[in-house]
Amino acid sequence: MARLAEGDIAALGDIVRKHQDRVLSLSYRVLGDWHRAEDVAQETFLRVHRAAKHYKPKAKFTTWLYRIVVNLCFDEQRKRAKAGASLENAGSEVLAESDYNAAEKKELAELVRASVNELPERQRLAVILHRYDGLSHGEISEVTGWTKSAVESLLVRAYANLRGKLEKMRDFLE
Amino acid sequence: MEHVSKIELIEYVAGRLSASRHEEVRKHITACEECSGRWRGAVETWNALGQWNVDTADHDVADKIIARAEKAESNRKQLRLPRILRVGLLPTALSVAASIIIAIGVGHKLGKYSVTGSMPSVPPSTNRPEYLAALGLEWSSELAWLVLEDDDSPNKGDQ
Repeated sequence: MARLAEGDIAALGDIVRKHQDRVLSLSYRVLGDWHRAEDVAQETFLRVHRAAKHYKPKAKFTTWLYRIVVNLCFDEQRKRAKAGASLENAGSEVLAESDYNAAEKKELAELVRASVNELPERQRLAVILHRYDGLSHGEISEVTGWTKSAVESLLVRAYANLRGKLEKMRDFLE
Repeated sequence: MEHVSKIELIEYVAGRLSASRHEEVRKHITACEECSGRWRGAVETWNALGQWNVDTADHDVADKIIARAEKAESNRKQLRLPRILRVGLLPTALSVAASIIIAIGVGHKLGKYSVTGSMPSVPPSTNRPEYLAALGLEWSSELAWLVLEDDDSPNKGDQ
């Protein structure tokens, strides 16, 4: 970040290459759409670039980075809600495409993805950050701005909902 | 030890408890049938969720980001210059300034040949106004001194 603050664009390249996988996978899981996920990833790193001169490391860099991604994903979801589209629709489009590509091989993964996408928005984000990005409930609270108790409650309900959905799924698969 | 709370069980399965707490919970789960059942359910859910992998290999955005950042940086540098000095505006500004200077110079030269350009000089009047002559004064400024002296006169109150 110090190099980037001095205007070294190569430093931005290093940061992007180091963190783009986690930024892309988080935004894809939240938005269910690669095009939007790439837009969010680009905007995230451009914000990092713009903020580099004023960046003061109060928290872990990745926590700050996740905060930017989560805020941009919220903005995207708001835009989508205004446009009248729903994540369920976007998800089923992706599911339909992938069904034709490698249906049997990816069936379980697609059903898990569908189960996660069926969760209410806040539960979904909490469980994605917890299960796939390795954040503790305290870190999720820092990233989202929600209270720790709210995050705890969201995670407990999300995992309980998922357990119910995945049990049904397992019965279906067997 | 009390039963393991729901959130603590989730963090235990995720491996995000402190080493000492992890050990306490592990011992409790081993001894408590109820918590052991809850733990098995939580592990199953955790493992099933792990099936959803996301492959980002085909979505490298690094080059696009660098290109956009470089463009933004050059735009920012350009914005720092005064508007008039920005590329494209400078030649226009210089030609406008040169035109104004030439116009003023030509106008100044032509002014000498115009009918109203040279006014006949009028010599200052040498005649003393009559009211000054009546008071025995040469200039009107002396009139002011005369008034001031009159105000300062110590006999003013006796009059």
